Amino acid sequence: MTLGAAEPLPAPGAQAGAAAPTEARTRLGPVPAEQRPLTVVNAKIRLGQRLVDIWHHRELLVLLTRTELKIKYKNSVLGYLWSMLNPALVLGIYYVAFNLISGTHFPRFAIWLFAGLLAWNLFNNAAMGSTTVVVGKAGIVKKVAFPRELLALSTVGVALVLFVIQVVVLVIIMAAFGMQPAWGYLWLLPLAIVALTVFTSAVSIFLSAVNVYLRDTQHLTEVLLMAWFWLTPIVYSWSQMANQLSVHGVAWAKWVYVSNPVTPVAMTFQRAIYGTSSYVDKSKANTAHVATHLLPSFGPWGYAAMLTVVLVVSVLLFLGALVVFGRLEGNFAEEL
Amino acid sequence: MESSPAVAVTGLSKSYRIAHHADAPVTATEALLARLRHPLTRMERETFDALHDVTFEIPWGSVVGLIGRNGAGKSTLLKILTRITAPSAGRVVMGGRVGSLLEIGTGFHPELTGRENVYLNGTLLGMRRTEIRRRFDEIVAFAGVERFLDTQVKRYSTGMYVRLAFAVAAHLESEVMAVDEVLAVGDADFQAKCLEKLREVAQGGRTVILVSHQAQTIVDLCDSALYLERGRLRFQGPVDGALEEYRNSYRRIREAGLDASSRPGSGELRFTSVRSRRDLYGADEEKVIELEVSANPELAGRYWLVAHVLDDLGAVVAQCDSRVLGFWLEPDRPASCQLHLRTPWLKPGSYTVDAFAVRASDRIDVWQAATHFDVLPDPPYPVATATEATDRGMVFADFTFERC
Repeated sequence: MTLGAAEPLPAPGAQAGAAAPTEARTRLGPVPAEQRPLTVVNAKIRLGQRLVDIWHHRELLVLLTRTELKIKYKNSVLGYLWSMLNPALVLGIYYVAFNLISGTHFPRFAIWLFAGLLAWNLFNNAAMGSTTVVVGKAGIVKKVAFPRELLALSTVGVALVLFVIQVVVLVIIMAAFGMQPAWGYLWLLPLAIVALTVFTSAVSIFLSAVNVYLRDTQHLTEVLLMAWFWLTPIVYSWSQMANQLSVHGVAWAKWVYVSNPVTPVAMTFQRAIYGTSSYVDKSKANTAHVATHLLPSFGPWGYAAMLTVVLVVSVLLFLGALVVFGRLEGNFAEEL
Repeated sequence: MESSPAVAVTGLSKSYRIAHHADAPVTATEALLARLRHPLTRMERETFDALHDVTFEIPWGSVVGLIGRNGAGKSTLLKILTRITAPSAGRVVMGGRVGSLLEIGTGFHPELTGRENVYLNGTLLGMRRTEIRRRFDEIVAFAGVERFLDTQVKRYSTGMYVRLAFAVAAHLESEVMAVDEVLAVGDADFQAKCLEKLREVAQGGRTVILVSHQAQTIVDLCDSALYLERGRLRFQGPVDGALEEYRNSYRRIREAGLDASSRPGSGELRFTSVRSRRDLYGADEEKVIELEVSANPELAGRYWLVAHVLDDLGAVVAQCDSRVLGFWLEPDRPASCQLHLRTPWLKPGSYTVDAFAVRASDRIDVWQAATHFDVLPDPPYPVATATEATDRGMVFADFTFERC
């Protein structure tokens, strides 16, 4: 793929008229050979080269993401406001459904749920979008050369933008109701977001390529993601789950949770945003005032350690996904 | 370094693995089930070489034509050069950026405005933002759509759309440019503009690779040519030589096709014979092609036949698809039929016929250059005149002039 300096260097003889070197170049012919970026086409693109290509095309990635978002809200009156209204409404519905109607003793359950969903939605939106993205863009995949990974990454970009919007809504609502996050844990969020983004990118790149060859991947993914959602402590808490598994004598089943990279990220979000790792049920029926544990009680460094493991695993998965993508990519133009 | 060629291709191959339709899994569930049922067997696949060990070099500043029959590997080669598809083996080194006019405007998004599309498409083609910004006015002026820049492209007329798309592609500062015959679509004005741009590009010392079925375009524009046959490079050199090679390829291809098992297609049915009733026809005479197809009682559903009549440079002059007449055949018994071609009146020269048997868009048999015939050099008109009265045009027209 395109090597070397992206911006053409001025020709040596151009010092005099350095103002318009490009103009002169197109009129007079190509730049001297030693200054042209070579284009090399090989049967296999090495992993390092793939990463370089992605970096060189970062502008395209931004543009693809922006286009996707623009199209999404193009013909709606409220435009981007929709994307804000949506999470706000969701938060309101959770509050009404869980705290008012079902009368759970879990205080601020809506915030708990929303914290976990933030992480989940980022992953879910990108993974779902990625299955169809290469097939959906068949037109350009068949006619234009660019690193096709960018298509999958652009769905991650879209999911990240929606994520930021949801965070803004959450901050506004928490501020309005005077709710405090766990300040000592907030610094973990950037690490959690990076780890989740890398993991999400790995999954998206993999799915986008596989769906070109096996078109029902998108439907399978839908079902798998549903199962995955319920296997991630979002609606319930890690500690409740761990308790229940012990009670039923299947504590070993925790490995399902431990090996799920979304779990530590969701737990970090919950710890930092919800603010505490346990709550005391203060309702009248409960006179014992026993604390209900939600999350393991270790401090921020414990979370940081978990996230570091997730990040390392995610980076490896990401590189692996690029290798798989590279093997499948060669025949995209024929398969589409 | 300056002596290094613009394009150096070494040992380039592209092979596809084709699984037979019935067993190829198309969905993940099928693939999983197949794997569960036969965990150890590998699927039997046939490999098909679209390109085989192609090696050549192209010097700077030349315009090279790429010629060959359908399926000879021209498009595959162009796709590899433009990095749309990856080769199976081999290597290409090009001394600069590669641009393509393969299909213009595919990167356009109808919902975006003209301005947004210039940036999106330019970036897709490999331009930097700063580069697009610098050349933006030039691009827009070339396309002549200044007033509609902030209108969604879906509201553009076809002409505006194509002009803007072409302007973006043409302003990519690429040292190597690949052009497909897709250029042949569009109005005459647009074609002229494209050809003009290509000449300009070549005069600027850059390199153009052109695929076209129009011999005239190749002769006009190219200073050398490559001739591909069945995925192999048969000839590189002067345009005349390549065209000569092309004309002579008929016999070779026909002989190769006589062995039915070597022909493309699923092979569930095979042409047993395709013959022109005569070797020579007058221009306005009816041409008759006799086709015979084997039977396969196990094949469900009916099929149809297609015959392409190609001139001696491989351009399809007539496409005769039996579907358009409602003519279908049953696979349970051998078929024998005749194609009667009354018009167009063909120009003098050699013609070949490609025969296809097709079922539900699945090619059963493809026989290239299955038969051929010649057309006598007498114009089919009542009055003999100087040749300049009849030497233009692709075919002879059946026309009259009347006073009224």
